[in-house]
Amino acid sequence: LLKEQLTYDESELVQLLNQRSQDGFSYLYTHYSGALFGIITNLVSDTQGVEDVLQEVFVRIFRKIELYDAGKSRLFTWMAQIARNAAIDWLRQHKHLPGAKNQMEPDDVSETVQTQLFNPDHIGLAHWVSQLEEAERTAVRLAYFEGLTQEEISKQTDTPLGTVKSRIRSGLRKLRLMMKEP
Amino acid sequence: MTAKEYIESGAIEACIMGLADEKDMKLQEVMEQMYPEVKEARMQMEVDMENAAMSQSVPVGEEVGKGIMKTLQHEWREREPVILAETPVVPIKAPVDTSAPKPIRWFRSVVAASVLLLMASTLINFYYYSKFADYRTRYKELLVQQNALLTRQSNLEAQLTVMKDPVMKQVKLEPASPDINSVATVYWNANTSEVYLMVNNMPKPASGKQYQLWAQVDGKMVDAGLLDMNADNLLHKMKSFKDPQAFAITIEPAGGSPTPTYSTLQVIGKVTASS
Repeated sequence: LLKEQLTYDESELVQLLNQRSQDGFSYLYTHYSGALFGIITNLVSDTQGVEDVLQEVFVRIFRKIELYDAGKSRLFTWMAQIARNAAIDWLRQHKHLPGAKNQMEPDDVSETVQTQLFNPDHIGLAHWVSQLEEAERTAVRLAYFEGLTQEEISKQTDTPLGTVKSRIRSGLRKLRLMMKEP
Repeated sequence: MTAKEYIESGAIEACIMGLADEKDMKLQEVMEQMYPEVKEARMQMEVDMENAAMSQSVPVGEEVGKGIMKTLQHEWREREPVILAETPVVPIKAPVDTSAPKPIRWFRSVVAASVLLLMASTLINFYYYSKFADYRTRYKELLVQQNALLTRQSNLEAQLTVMKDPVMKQVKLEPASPDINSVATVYWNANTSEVYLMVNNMPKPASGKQYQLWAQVDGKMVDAGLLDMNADNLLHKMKSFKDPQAFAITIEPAGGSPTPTYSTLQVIGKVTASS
């Protein structure tokens, strides 16, 4: 007899996760932990820190899976946002990030986003970001890597909110196109 | 902003990466409702992002995985509803009997007391668990309600943005005869040709009937779409026209007619240069 094939499509997986099924979470871990680890590695350079954050991400997924709305995003998008938020929280707790109100030079940021390359193919996101022009680079760094809201960035850089938004948007669009065709 | 401009602005990427604020997120939702191509673009970008993240995977040590599954086990245990929690042990004083000791009787009363305590504790636990379940349900209901309100608010905001656009021409549709009280307004975007209909005051049509909007193009009345009075919209998106001269609304059998029934003409208005 053929053993039942253990692949779930996304809606099946979400249903299992909502039921807090062990199989569902094992599957989730097997398939997505590496990609989520990669995302966290983009933000946290401390080895123990990355592992702690990954654990926190799975706990948050476990606790908040009811809040996931399949009509609004893919499961991975939702998890990737949790991963980034958890990484930012960790950086703040461990004072790797300056307070939101401190003025900082964009160049300081690159040190906090240095990545440890466990995967030789892993190109840190910071590498792509560094190819953006300065205004976009600063906006994307403050938003993505430091977790500032667009409004906070507007205040901190003394730039109108609309300008901050369009810099982040065009920066992200360029990043997406760059990463699609390296 | 057209759908294409929106898609190319990077706004969708900001939503996907979690950098958009609540207002932007709601705008995304509304844009997806209005333009299917926005939704398609969002889903494609999500797939791209997921593929990029997968190819940038970093292997996780085996020990880390074990630790995480262990933590989740702990979460599982915490979630199991506690019906029979530990009951604090209350020492029971057996009645002092000065005569010969009667161990059986003493034992029985302890058992009886324990059973009573256990029952009481079960009931109390059950009571609190039901309360907890009740509050949890109500909390979820509130979340749903709040979300519905937020969606409605941002729908309205998005529609106001459409109305405020300076290229938008406003065409007031006035009653076609003195015994009609209906008023409606058409908003026509001279750049994108989009047409929106706002109902200022129109009674619900009789059952089996429906309001139909007509646009006058090159002197001919052309179907501009049916009005869904049940939709909870300030602006109803109708068919687009490049150079309409006038708009009118008639009452037609449900499902609409290919040509307008002039005897049921309700409101009409001309597009003027100063509109």
